[in-house]
Amino acid sequence: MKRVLTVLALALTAGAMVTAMASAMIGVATAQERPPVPPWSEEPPPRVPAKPGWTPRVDLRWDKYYTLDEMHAALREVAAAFPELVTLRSIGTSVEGRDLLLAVVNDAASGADTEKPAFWCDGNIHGNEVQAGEACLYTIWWLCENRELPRVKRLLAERSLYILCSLNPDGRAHWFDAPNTMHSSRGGKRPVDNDRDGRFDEDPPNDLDGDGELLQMRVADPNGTHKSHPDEPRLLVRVKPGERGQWRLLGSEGIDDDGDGRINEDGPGGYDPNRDWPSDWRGPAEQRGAGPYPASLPETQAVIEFLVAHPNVAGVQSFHNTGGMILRGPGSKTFGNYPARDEQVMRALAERGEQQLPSYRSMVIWKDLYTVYGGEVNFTYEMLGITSFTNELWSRDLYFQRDPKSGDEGRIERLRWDDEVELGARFVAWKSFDHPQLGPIELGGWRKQTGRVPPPFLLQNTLHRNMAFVLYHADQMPLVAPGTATVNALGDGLFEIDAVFRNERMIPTRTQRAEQKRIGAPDRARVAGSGIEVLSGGQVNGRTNRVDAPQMRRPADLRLPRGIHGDGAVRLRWVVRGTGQVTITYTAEKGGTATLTADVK
Amino acid sequence: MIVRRLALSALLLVASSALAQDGDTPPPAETPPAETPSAETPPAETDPAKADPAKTDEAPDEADPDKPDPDKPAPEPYEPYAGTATALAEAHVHVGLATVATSAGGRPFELLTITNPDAAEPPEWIAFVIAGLHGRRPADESELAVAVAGWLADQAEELPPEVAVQVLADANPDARAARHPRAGNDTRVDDDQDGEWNEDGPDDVNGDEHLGWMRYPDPTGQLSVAADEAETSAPVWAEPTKGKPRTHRLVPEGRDIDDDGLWNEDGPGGVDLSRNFTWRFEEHVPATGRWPASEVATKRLMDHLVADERIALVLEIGGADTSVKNPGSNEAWPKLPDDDNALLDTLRSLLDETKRADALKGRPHAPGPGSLGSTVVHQFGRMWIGRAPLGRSGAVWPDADAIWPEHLAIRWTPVEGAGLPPGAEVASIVPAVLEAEDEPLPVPSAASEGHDLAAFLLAAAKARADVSFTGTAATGSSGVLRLRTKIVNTGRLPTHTARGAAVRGRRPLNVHVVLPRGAKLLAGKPHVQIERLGPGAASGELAWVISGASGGSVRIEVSGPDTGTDVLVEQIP
Repeated sequence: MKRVLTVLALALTAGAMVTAMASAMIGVATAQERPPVPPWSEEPPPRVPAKPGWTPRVDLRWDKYYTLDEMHAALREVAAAFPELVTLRSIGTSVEGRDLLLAVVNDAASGADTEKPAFWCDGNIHGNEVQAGEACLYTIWWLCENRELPRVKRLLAERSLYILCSLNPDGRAHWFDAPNTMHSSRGGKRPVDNDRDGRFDEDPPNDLDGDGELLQMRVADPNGTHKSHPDEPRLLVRVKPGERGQWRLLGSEGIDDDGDGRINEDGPGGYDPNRDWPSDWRGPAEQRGAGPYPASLPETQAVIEFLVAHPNVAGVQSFHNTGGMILRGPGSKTFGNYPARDEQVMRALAERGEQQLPSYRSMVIWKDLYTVYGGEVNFTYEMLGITSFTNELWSRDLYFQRDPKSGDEGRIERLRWDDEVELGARFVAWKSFDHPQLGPIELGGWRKQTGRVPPPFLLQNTLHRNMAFVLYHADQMPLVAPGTATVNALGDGLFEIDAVFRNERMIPTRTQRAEQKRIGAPDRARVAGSGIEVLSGGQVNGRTNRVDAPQMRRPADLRLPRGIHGDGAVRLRWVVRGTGQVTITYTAEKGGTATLTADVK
Repeated sequence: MIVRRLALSALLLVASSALAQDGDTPPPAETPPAETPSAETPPAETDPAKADPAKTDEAPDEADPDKPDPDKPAPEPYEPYAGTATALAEAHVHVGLATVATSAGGRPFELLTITNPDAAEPPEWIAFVIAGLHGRRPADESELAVAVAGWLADQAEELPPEVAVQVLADANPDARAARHPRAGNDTRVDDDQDGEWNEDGPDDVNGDEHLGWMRYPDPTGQLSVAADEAETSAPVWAEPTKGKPRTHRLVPEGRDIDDDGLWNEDGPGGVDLSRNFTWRFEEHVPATGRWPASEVATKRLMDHLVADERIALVLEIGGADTSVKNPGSNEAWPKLPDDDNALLDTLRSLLDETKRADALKGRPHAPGPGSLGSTVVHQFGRMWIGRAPLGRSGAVWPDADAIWPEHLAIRWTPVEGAGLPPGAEVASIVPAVLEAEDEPLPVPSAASEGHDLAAFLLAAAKARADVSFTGTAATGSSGVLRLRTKIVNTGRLPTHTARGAAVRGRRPLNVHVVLPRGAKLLAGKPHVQIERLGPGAASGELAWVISGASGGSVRIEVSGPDTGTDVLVEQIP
């Protein structure tokens, strides 16, 4: 009885009353078949092995940020140490020819990655959002090192994971290798004529003093727009009416390279790879950062081709920074709402994420953040019918781990954090500099490795919690399991075969979006047996115990475009003539395959 | 006879395009696009060895352009015309031929480039003519485009030397090469989304060597067949509220090969390139492609337009028509800024000025979702004008009149057999009509219409924006130059469309100051950008004060995406 109630409770969590009733009914009939290890949601969260003296097989540090080369080297090291779990393959190359190095994480002994429901995870589509890459790398490494934990073992037996640490390797490489701000090197390296003067990338920012940083420039000016904050002279605040200024801000460190009177107006790149995905896409006329058409970048194109070729992908996670968000679509108001059942599932997943990720909030992109046309997770859900999230890693709430102050107070708090906790590692004090074009100015401000990324000593906390959300989502991908098969003799040589198949997890085998837009292949249920003639077949209405809409053509091979709802089941019924053993196979593109057998006699 | 039979087949297949719009076809799912690397556009060939001194003798009679040139082969509009573009390029030294893209089926997109034979420099302004994107339409579009190119080649001396016209006459070579005329390219499309591709296409059920139409009794069908219907008559579209009940369903001729109760629901169709462009693309519709620019041909065509900013004007010979008057606006073709409506009026007036009386009739038809026209105008912000060939039976696709021309009669012949619905009948063309060899088909004179469009392009080239300096005043003394000037557009066309300027779709006019060594800009901006100058419009005053390098020359350069560069030189006193 306890099991039955659990099934009911889970179904209620999913929120569909009809589903709940059906699940409860089927739960009575099939409780014996539940797997020995219950779903993730019923277990305590997994723990990192803490036994003294534990040393990982691959000793990676998680208090540092990996350059692209270091990241690829670490991936190769992990793959070499765990060949039974990790294979690496390049799924394409970037604008500048760097590999898009994908890790396929799968317990190959239990089946090929393509035979299992798979999870796609990527990071660092924005080159400067670097810890997104570490979040992916950490997930790969941690799964390998903890492969013997029962839940990890089960997960890797049931699922495969496709993890692309950096979707924008050019942006990442450039962010580490060249002077940058925390915001620069967001896009890729395809040249763009940002200032529309017919020349490309001809006036980038410049590290004038050669300190490896791109700082801010200011010049003393009694008629300037800013003054030093009275409590914190390092902070510049805009003057109010009636106040006198002290400083005029001159933007990022640089010179007028092309002699057009402007500074840094045409730096490297100038587009946004996360506006390049072909769903609800708008061109540059309506959205900054978009290319001439979607999938115009080789990186985007490579990922799309991979996803299209892998219809077993049933969950998607993309990592960005910053703000502490668990984001889902739609990206624009004009798109309309997502179908109710899918929205319920994604909201339920995100709500669990809010618990796993303190200070992160579940949000809808256009409603709670801003409008994004042609974003990655919009594409994966809207065009491919996959439940998808973007996490914005790190939040300023996590500095002092209490409600942050806003406005100038918040900025002063940031400086205080740097002074007291990071011992001044992140802020460069204003210093005099003789600018070759502007004369005496001052340089100063934040280094790139702050603000959007956690201080290194807090990095692993971010990585592990976000990995936990990924693994939870991956575990909730659909999983088809066999229920019962029963045979009733109808007389006159006719038999009725009833077969029940369950979806053991929260995400349906076919999202409502996939069903509505006819995305991907419908689920199929096939009955086969020698000496059996199939006369009719169809899905049983759980309320009436009747096949309301028999499939008249090819009844032995049922097409089920609705699939099986999350934590739900379908009952299928065939009327056959003849006797013998039959095999009944249920196949869901994103939920795997399950088989039942029955003796018709 | 064969030609005429093909012609009628093509007309019938136009109808199948129209029907595909009825919503009978289930939504999408296609194969992933197969990316094919494209060749960069090589420069137009100008091999002098190809010069043909006898060419001028072949030019049609200038005094009577209506009169077809007896030396030119009579147009066979629905025959494959492959080789024509090549022949044109081989016959003219100033006509280049290059492959601008490769189709999904690996076929080249052949781009003709026509320039003035005396042109010494690369062109500054390019008009791009494209035809045949929608492959299922009769090939009159491509034929017309070749005719335009032919006329331009013959009159190339009239092209301004700084102008080129590019002609992509067959923008859907896969469709043209297919066994059956069709809209799409060689991409596999699972039209009925059953996991199988192209498993139920049309067949020649009655063995008459053409694919026509089939009807069968169905009270939900599109046709109304009266009990006393004449033996040969034009079909009647059902209008249940007007006493024309639905009695028959109309489908392309064929069997239900996959036994799913649907006829010809998943034939070889491919992606319709004319609906695969980006502006207001229709998502989850099978024929439009998996997503915007999912087809490699679409990408390469867009790349071509993006990469060559000198392409100022696109003339599309296709379904949409803005050459007569403004079509109504809709979501895919939103209302244009007033200045751009005025621009379209100017383009139409150029057409009016060049055409013979009454020669260019037609009906306005707005570009649809995902069309090249909408994308060029609303996303790229460039000039575009659409032209539906007159030969389309005088009507604009899709239109029932175009499908069933009045002078053609149809006879329905019962057919039966496996995979055919009960009561099926296949349409055949009434022999009496076919045999009227002397009666000309309503095929337009592509040569005549091509002449008018070529003349339009010449006029547009001459009317293009032309920027120069005006109101220049240079004063000063002893090593100080005080210079002021304005930029003016003396052309009949604007430098940028209003839409293009609003969305910053193109490079603006850039004004650069180039100083001699040792000179210094004391005041004034070294770089000025002007978003748009309408016809006859001038910029605000630009002013600079320059010192040093006495006797040296200051250069002010103004350049635009399709205006070339104009230079003002003043000496420092």
